[in-house]
Amino acid sequence: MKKNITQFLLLLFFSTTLFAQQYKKASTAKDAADLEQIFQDNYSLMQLAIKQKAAQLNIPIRETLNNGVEREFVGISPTGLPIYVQTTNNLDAARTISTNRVWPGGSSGLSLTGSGMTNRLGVWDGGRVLTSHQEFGGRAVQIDGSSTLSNHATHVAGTMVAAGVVSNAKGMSYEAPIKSYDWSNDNSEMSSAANAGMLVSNHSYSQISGWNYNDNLSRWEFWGDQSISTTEDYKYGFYDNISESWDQICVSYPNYLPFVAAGNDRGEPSTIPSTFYVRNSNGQWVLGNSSNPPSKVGPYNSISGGPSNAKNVLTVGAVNRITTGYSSPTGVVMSSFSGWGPTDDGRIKPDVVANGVSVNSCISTSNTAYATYNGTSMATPNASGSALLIQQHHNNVRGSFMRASTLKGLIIHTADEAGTSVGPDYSFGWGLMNTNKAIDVISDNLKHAIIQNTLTSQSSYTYTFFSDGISPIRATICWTDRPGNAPSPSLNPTTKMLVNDLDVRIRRNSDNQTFMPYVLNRATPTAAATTGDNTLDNVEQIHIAAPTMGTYTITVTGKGSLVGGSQQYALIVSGITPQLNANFTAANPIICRGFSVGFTNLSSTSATSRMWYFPGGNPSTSTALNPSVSYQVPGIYPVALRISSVSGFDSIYKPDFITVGGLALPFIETFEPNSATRSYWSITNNQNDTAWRFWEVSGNTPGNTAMGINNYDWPKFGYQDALNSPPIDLRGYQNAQLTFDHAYTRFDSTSSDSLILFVSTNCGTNYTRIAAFGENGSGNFATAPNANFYSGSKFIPSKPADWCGNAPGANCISIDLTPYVGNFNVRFRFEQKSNAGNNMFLDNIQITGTPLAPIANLYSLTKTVCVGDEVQLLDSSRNNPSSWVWEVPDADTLSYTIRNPQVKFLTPGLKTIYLKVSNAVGSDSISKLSYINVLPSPQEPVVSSSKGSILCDGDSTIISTDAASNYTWFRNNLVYNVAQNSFNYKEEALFFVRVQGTNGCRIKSNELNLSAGITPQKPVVTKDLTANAFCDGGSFNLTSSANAGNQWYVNDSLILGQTAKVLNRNEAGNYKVKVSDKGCSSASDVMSISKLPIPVTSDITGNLWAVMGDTASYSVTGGMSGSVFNWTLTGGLVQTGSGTNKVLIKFNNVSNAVINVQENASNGCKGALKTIPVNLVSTSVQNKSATIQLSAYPNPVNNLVFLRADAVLTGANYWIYDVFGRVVLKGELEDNQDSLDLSNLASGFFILQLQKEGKNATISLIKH
Amino acid sequence: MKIKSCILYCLCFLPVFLHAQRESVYMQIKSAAPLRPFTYYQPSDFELRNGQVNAALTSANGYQFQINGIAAKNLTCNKRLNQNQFKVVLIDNRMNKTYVSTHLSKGKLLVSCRSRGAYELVYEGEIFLNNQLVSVQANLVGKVRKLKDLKTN
Repeated sequence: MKKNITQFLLLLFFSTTLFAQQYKKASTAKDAADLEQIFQDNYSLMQLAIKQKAAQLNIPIRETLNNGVEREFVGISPTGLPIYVQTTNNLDAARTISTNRVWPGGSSGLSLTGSGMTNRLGVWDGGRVLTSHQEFGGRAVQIDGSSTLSNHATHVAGTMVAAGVVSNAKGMSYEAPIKSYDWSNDNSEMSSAANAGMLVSNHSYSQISGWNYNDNLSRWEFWGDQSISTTEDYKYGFYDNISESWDQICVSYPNYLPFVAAGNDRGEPSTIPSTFYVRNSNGQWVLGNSSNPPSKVGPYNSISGGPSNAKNVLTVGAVNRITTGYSSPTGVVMSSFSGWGPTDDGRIKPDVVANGVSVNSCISTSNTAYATYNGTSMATPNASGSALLIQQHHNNVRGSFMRASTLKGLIIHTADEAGTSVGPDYSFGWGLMNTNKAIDVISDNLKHAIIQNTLTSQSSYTYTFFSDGISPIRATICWTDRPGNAPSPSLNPTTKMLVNDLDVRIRRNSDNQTFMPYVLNRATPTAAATTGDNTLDNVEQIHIAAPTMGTYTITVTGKGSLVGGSQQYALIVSGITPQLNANFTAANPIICRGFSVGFTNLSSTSATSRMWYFPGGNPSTSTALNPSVSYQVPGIYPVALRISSVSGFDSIYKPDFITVGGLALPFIETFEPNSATRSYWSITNNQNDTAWRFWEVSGNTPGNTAMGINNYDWPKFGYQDALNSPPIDLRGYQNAQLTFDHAYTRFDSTSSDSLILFVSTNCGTNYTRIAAFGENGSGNFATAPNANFYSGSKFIPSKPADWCGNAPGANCISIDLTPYVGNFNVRFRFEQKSNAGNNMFLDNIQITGTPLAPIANLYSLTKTVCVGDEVQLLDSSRNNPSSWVWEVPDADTLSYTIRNPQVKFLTPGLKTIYLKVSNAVGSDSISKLSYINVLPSPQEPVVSSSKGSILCDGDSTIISTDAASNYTWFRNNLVYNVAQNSFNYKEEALFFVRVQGTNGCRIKSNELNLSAGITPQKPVVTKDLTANAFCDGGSFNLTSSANAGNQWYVNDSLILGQTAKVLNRNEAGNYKVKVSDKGCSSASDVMSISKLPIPVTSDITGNLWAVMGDTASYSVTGGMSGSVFNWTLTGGLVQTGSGTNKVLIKFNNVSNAVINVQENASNGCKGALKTIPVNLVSTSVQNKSATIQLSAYPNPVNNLVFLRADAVLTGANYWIYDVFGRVVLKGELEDNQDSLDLSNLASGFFILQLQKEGKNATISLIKH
Repeated sequence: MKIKSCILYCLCFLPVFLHAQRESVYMQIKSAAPLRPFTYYQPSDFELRNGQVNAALTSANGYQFQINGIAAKNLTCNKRLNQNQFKVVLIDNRMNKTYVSTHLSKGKLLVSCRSRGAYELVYEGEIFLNNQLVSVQANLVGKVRKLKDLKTN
């Protein structure tokens, strides 16, 4: 609270005996709950005393003066005189931001009060709210057990939700429940409350910053950190770890929006005190240096430290009240104290302003105490309490609550302009909150759009709309940004706190002009807002004050990769001219002949003209909003409606919409909700008591709905209630029959109702009685047995036996209607005459008949038309055909099978119309010769553009027509008032002309669809090759400098489907890319890419077996001359020949080696990698096999080699392999054989393998 | 053998060790339906607000347990505090109830020092909603991460 300027302490004095005796002192309270009870008791006592005093003196308890000021009798003075509260301006805070307009009785017509918004609203403050105050009515609950009552907290909560017991203290959401907390553990409590569904919370506090006067010690204190700055408190505008925490809370709970006060420090102190205290490095207060005192706070950079500087909260500044509501920017007067932005990183704060001056609300000194306070603390609940109503309205009309970013964006979007310049500033933020405008945006989803989306990295969202060129366009995006990394405390660090940087742009499609969002410059905070790329705020707004008529496209993108991979955001758009939508309905589309149908226009309200078409009706056309049309000829007729406005036109055609003379047979009424005719039944209830109505029943099919009447609860005698059918057409039938299901029981043996049936052949003017049941009281048509009578309970059929036709009750009723066939305008009446009986039900009323063979006939209201005009052909056949075949010559469609086709003739001349109709009995046909006279149209004119249909870079063209006279120009389907047959034009539009011939016929020219674009910058192609060539078998990438609109070409031929920024290819050619925008294109230079051959290298030649530590030679044959060979190997080293096609390799003492070589041709291409594996063996005489320990000696051997093993070798099989793996010797060792003769083998390297009983041994041998 | 001994030791004592580390709130209510157990969710939040230490532990099932108003000078190792030196609040967001300490609570709070500047608050006492008594044993551990010198505006 800035300053407590007045305080109405409504102390309750001892003026009456009653009150004096029972009054309790607050000081006697044992605890907070007891204190509240004392206040409550005293309040009740005082109300009683006031009533007695008012009656005694004959004075009003409350009155409204002629000037609107409220007066209220709120207490009694010690001398016994009434104490009145008179407020200067009731509800000023609400009026300032137009919240009062959404209350019941407000100009919006809404009734928003916050009622029922349980758990949605909270307040954190410096202490406990006096929840027993008369203004809260039990709706305020202190959640955290705080015991210290706070005037400030109570005042703030009152501004949010006070009931208005004293009317000028009425809160914004004056019927809303509110959860109250003190500020201890606010972070944890906010998270917990948001998790439980809280949407809006109020925080009228901040970190103590800068200059503060300590009332307790009567001294000035400076709360800055001397080690950072002796002249300025770094906390102003600083994003600290509390800001970071609150941003994280908002990220965690995306529907939760805290409202935070901007602080009141701007301009403090009014005079720099000569004596003041500062904190030393130990945090102790010491006398400050008066010769170098800190500066005054602000005016800019004076937002108090802490949550006020968070990105995702709504920071609120304070302005004076506006008692008559907002009218102009000059009417919004800044308070003397409200903190101003920017934040240190240049973000726009405060977000909005509200009334924080002279706000009257309740306080905690008693249950009837009030005071008027100033401060951003007061402006903040003005905003937060109103914001709850915005959420409530959204939930009412859209069925869900908004995300917090949507609510914040909407409040900013609809804020009234404030300050000296258009757009945001660092004093008023985005302007003065306007609750009513925010709610209007929600209500009118035709002229405004609220879109909640999620943007993923590298993606974009576009939204196209039409502007009428009159309504200003405003688009706002807002997102709950991830927390920034709070920098270390320092003075005004410019470290950017924005994490995900979304961008909004609007393009005017007619000329591609791009509109940018507002930006402010932190370096020159007084400067007016400009437009550009906003890289600091998580709110962006574009305002086009004077748009031109046409389409606009909004694009939302994100810079770079979004942290988290995606970002939720809200887009709010105003200034949309809704697309036209034609529609209509009629309450009574089934009528008798000679009656009228009332049509109701359901089309877009923005339509400026309309034309109705009523074939068969009178009038046959109309421009009225909701016309009434009579029909004289029985039949079934279509209706059409066309509407238009500056944004275009729309039309709707409903075939077979009107039925005149009655419904054809078979007529079946089930009374189920899906019945097309049940709404056309009427009832007669002369006594205004019980009447026929729909009932939920069982035991009968289909469905569970029947028509019934409640006699059980209305035991009357002689009352007649009728159920009247819609008109029925009985023409064209040989016979007809009425059947229906009924359910009924008598009440007792003497109380029995009756059912009487009537028929009318003149639409209900006169009725003739045709049947009656139960008039003698016998209940002979009862469907439930008399033995039960259902006298003990109300009869509602629940099983098949309760209905007719199911024993033991009556059968169903059937009535012959043959005497009435041939009539139309026939109505039936089911009259129930009560005799204090029980309930009666009707269902499945059917009128059926055997049709006559149809007699074909047709007509058209228009018999002379022009080529290309549509002609409505109407079937007037008799005897109810059920299928139709039309044949029309020279029409766009030559045959139709619908009842009433619309036909367009393509050539002039007299046209014969043929119609064949059929039904279940037979068919008939008719040809009307030369029935339609189609007049020739004038010669079709041509519209052309001197520069084609694509205009680039603002170029203009000459649009002309070859029509010489009687032509009318059309632009975008609307008449374009140009008299000449040619004119200059340079914007996007659709043009054509209509020419009227001497016979009155018109013809439309070709359509010229002009597009207007900007020639893109010449694209540059880059490649991922070092030269303009690639090796055969490889591929390469070409990249266009343009991000969109690319089309790739090779050898001047379009590469189908290749429109991405990057082209991947594996063929040589001359490549280029063409970038286009609405036909305006620019091509890159050609880049020639050639393909180089690759060398084909032979396989590696050399031994597959080698001795460990020995050397061996390996080679390949190169595919191209001049190649370099790259040898790589494992298990050895190249001794000689590196780079050549032949190498000498020395092997390591390992069991195998792998040799690789790749040929690198002189053209830069590489051959295939060649590989050879080499098995390495040891020359040691001891060589252990896995299972048989075998040794051989001598080794190297001349001829005979001796074997020694750890097992008997008799019977062992042996194989000797050469270096190529071929078996050169094999056999089986005989008894006691311990040697092998190798004399037949050539010199060389061999492998001996022994195998016996599944065991193996291998050993290498070298023969001299 | 050493490894086996270590594994055996860990198997035997690890649960006890983990339990000792885990912050907890145990509540017992008399002559009424038992309260839902306090389900641990995330570490406590400690703040120094206008010279007083507040600590809050939020459960996964709608509770928030707070120990508030500890004078900063009392946040010292092995400090024992009586109920009149702090306040205790238990908010049940699901049932919309709040239990608080009163002059009848007779609560005791032991402040212990843990590693890296953290404190452990061990509380035992009674809290009330009107006349409904709830016995509470709580163990909160945390570091004071937020310094708030707040004022109303």
